[in-house]
Amino acid sequence: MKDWIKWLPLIAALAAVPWLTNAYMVSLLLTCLMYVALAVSWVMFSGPSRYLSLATTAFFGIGAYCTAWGLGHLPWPLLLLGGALAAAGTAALVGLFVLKLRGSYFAVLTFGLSELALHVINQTERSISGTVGRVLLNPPEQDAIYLAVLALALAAIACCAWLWRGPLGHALRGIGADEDRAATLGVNPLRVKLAGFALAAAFAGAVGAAMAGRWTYIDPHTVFNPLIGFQTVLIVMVGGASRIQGAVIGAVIFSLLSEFLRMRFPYFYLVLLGLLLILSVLYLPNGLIALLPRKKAAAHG
Amino acid sequence: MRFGGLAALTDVNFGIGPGELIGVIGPNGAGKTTLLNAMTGVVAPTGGKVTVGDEDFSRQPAYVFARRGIARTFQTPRVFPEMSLHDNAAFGALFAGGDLLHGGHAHRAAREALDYVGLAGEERQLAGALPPARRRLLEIAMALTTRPCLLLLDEVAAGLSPLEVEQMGELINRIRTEKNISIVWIEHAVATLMRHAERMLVLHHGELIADGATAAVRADPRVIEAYLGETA
Repeated sequence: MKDWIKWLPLIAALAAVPWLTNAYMVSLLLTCLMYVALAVSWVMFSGPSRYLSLATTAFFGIGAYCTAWGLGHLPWPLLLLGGALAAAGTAALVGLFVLKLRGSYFAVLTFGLSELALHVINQTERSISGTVGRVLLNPPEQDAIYLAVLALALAAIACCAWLWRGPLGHALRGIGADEDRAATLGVNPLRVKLAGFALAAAFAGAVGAAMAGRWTYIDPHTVFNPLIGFQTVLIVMVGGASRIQGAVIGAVIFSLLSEFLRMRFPYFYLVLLGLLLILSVLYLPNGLIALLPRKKAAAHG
Repeated sequence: MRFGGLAALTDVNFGIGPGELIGVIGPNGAGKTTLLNAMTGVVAPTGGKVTVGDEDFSRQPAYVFARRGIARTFQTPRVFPEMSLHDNAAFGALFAGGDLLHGGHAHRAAREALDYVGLAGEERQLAGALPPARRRLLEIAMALTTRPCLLLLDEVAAGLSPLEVEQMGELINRIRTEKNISIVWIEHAVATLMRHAERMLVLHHGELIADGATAAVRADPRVIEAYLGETA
């Protein structure tokens, strides 16, 4: 409890940003918070279980399409919930098959899931609605989107902390270390993985549903962009997967750095970004978080 | 039990009574570990039956065995290296010992089990930092918190010093008598095993060539042939 109270001033400041600063700052922080929410949602399952998922793109896109289809029929906050549920449902259904695979097979199949979702929606839109993309009429204000994504990022952090502290997190860590051994100690691996995978997917889906409001025009190739999935994994690699702070720091640094590089070096900012990522993975294999002292160790030592 | 064209175990039939301490011996490749794998759902038997009480467990996954009270250790200890000793020991209590459903005494169960095997005071240490001999003790603590009725031990005395082997024997005897847990104990060190077990099973080329009181098995000509034929 005491832990999060000291963050209250920061949370309050973040919530006040739309009233205190300009649209550019809000937009910059929105990108930041989107990556925080996505990275924390990714690390809550893939961190302890070591199941490297590239399905973030699929969940994000499914959430975005919930908004694209539902806006105008349903209130927007309800669509966030819809996006979360649709993504979690997809994760649970697909997880029944892909979570039986391990290592790179799982990673490749989750990447395939994103491609599959893209083409299913593309095909559905073409054959049923006769469209390739959708224009969002009356999209929510940027400030509303900002506050929604801030709430989602905070919820993801709280959920991850709760998950890791409890038995489900314990089971996921056991699965990550030695899945068969965990089973001989009473863990039903498939059920635990399904629960973790679906919970993580719910946040990615809600973020997708929230971010969809930012683009006035949506097509499958924009929202099912494989870069979303890759960048999420990269952020956690840079920040470190062992603690939630790793994902948060990674997301903030990644989004600020890419923004800074894009302004200063518009032509080869991606080259620089790639180089920095390679260097950080080479020289900081446990992520930036490894540079910070562990609070627990200090308290006991 | 077959692996492709290889029959690892054929016609191995035996029962385990409550509170029994059964030793299993056999030369390398006799099928001892395969037997434990079939008895814990780690590898499903290709033929034959595994029953627990009156229930057929032949096709059950490993976690069902664990929850039904069948615990085991591994020849090479398989602990969770990045978790503390406490968390390793609490694992079985949570997921097989019923502590998740019944109010959560996993913490106490873990401390008690670590204390019981002689690892008290090291709860916060990471299991990966533990020397191999003590990892075997930790594995026994991990098994105990699942509240087993049957404990399967796979070469828990391998690589231990003579003194440690002696202490391990005492610990296993205590578990059997104080906790009334049946024990099946595989060991290469036949002499150690025969001192503690009242009943012996002898596997040879995947067949059960002897099953009986330790003294009788020791005198069995087929056992002497299988063993002396190899070592002499």
